[in-house]
Amino acid sequence: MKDIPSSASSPVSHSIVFHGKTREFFKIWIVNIVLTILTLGIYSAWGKVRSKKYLYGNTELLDSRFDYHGDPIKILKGRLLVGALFIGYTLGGKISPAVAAVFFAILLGLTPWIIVRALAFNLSNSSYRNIRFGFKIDYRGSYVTYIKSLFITLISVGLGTPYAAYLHSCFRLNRIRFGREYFQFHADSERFFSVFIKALLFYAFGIAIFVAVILLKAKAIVAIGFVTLYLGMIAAGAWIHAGVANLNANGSGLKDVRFHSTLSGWTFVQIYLTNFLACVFTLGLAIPWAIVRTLRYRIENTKVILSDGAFDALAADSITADDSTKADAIVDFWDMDLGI
Amino acid sequence: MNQLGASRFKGVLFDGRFAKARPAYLILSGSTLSFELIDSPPAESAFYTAYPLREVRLSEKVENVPRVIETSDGLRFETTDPLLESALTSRAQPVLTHHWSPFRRIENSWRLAIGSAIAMTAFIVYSYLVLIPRYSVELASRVPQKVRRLLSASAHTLMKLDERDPAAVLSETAKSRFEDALNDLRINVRVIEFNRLPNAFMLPDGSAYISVRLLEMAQSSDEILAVLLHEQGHHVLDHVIQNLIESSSISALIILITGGTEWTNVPLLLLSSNYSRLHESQADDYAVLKLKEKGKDPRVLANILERMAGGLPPEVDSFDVLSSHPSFKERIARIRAVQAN
Repeated sequence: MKDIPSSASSPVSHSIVFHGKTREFFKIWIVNIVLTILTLGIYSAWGKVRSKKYLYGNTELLDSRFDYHGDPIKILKGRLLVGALFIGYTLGGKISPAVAAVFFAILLGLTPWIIVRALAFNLSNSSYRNIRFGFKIDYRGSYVTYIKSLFITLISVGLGTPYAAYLHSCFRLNRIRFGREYFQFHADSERFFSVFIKALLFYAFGIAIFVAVILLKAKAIVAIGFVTLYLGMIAAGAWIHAGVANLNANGSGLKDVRFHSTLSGWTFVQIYLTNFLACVFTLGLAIPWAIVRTLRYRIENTKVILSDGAFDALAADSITADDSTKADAIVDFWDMDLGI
Repeated sequence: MNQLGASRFKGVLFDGRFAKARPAYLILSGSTLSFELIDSPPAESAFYTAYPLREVRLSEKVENVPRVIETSDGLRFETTDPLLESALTSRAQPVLTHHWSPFRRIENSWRLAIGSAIAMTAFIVYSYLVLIPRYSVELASRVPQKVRRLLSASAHTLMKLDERDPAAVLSETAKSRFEDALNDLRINVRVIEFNRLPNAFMLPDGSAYISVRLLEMAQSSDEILAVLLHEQGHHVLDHVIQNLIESSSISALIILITGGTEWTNVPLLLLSSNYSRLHESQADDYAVLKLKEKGKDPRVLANILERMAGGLPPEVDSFDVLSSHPSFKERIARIRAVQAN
């Protein structure tokens, strides 16, 4: 590798390379599962760190690897909290609808907060070139985005869902930073609509088969109708996932760095459906294979466009941050991984 | 690879201030290490000298991920040189590293990993076939009456059960058949409207519910008795609470393995329906046994089931794999086979 001084040379597209291998990841994964079962779930926090260290450490851009620094204890704290709410909701529902309603309200009310905390935890524990990523703690923005998108979805009877997805992308991507430099996200909301409309066709296909089977009263194939309905949902989800990932990456910039994502909806649908079938028929043993191949496809279809040395001038946040200790103590208490 | 002697390792240095990658050597000497930048003026390297080994940290080994040395002042040195670890740990004052060696051994050995995979599969199959049904029986027997009443009250509200006075809604014949059947039962039975559908079920506190339509469909008091003995079977064998415990256990198992909740629905439905189908067969067997004990003809259960099946739209009886009940056809055939023995 050469040490290249910053210069205003023309931008070049660089591939991100994924070195992960199913056989390596399988061994990490199986250890995690066995220990997770033996410890009734406690080890899963350590397992998550180990898996992420493997997956991040095998992701390479410009000869440097990514890294994950999550503290398992904090992940465990978050899981216990969210787990308690979830169990409260599930069991509460069996005992009394009122208890379930209370837990549901708590979960619903906390979701925007949980989203912020989870993003902040995961990003600030991810690094590239010894510089941490970060997420701006903006609860107000999160609640506004959440309520707005809920309102739009409800009032449009679901037709506004793509716009809600667009709002979420705007909220998240504009608050992510690398070091002290924030990402910037610009995209046309119409393009979100075109992704969702195509995905709707998969739903429609599944529903059409299901309805046909019911109308024909074809007893033997009702089960097939159900399976088609479910597979249609998975396919639609995959199509949306690929489309939104493309829009998110292609609309994002980090100072002079641009991104280009070329995921194919069809390939993603194929990957999701085969992943699902393989995982079900192997009682879950194919999960590590599914994770590695999905990640490989995603990573290897994302390009980073930058001119020589564009990264070199990006600075860590710590250089300017004057941390107020009081705010830190509050942040520290809630510094946990709230994503399950 | 390290071709420069045992104490020089090539890698990349990041200073933690800027995202600039600096090719560098890590140089080990005595109980300290330093970094020498490649392609940079020597004066710059002077900043990165003499770190005591006890103050630096070596990342744990994760397959082929490059190893990382971190210093207390925030430097990060990445290298793929496989000899670094042994060089560092063989020193008098080894660097800090975090190892959970017993578990790493499994990761490094295919034999142990495959052994774990087989053990895990065996555990899932064993849990499903033996462990979960067995402990759900055990646990269910410990659920206090208070919880059962609470669960039943909530089910009552959720299902919007519209209870009826049998005297007011049943024809004279149906009423007297119903009263006859009640004399032979140990459970508390209530009559509901249930949208004019033929149905009967049990709540965890031991109250059975039977619909007006089903009572009217019965052609003898023995048929009503047969249906209610089936429900009594669910109560005596404590199936309702067991079902709850079984389906919760399966979701917990799926969450443990897949690490998420989004996967649970379909496998949960497929797997737990098998348990409740087993419960239905057990309750049928119970009813057949009790009918025989009372000197009645067990075929009455098959007869009323046949009539119920006839009164339902055909698609209700067709979800063989997904249904919580075995199909009527299956149950009727089974009851007839059981009573013949």
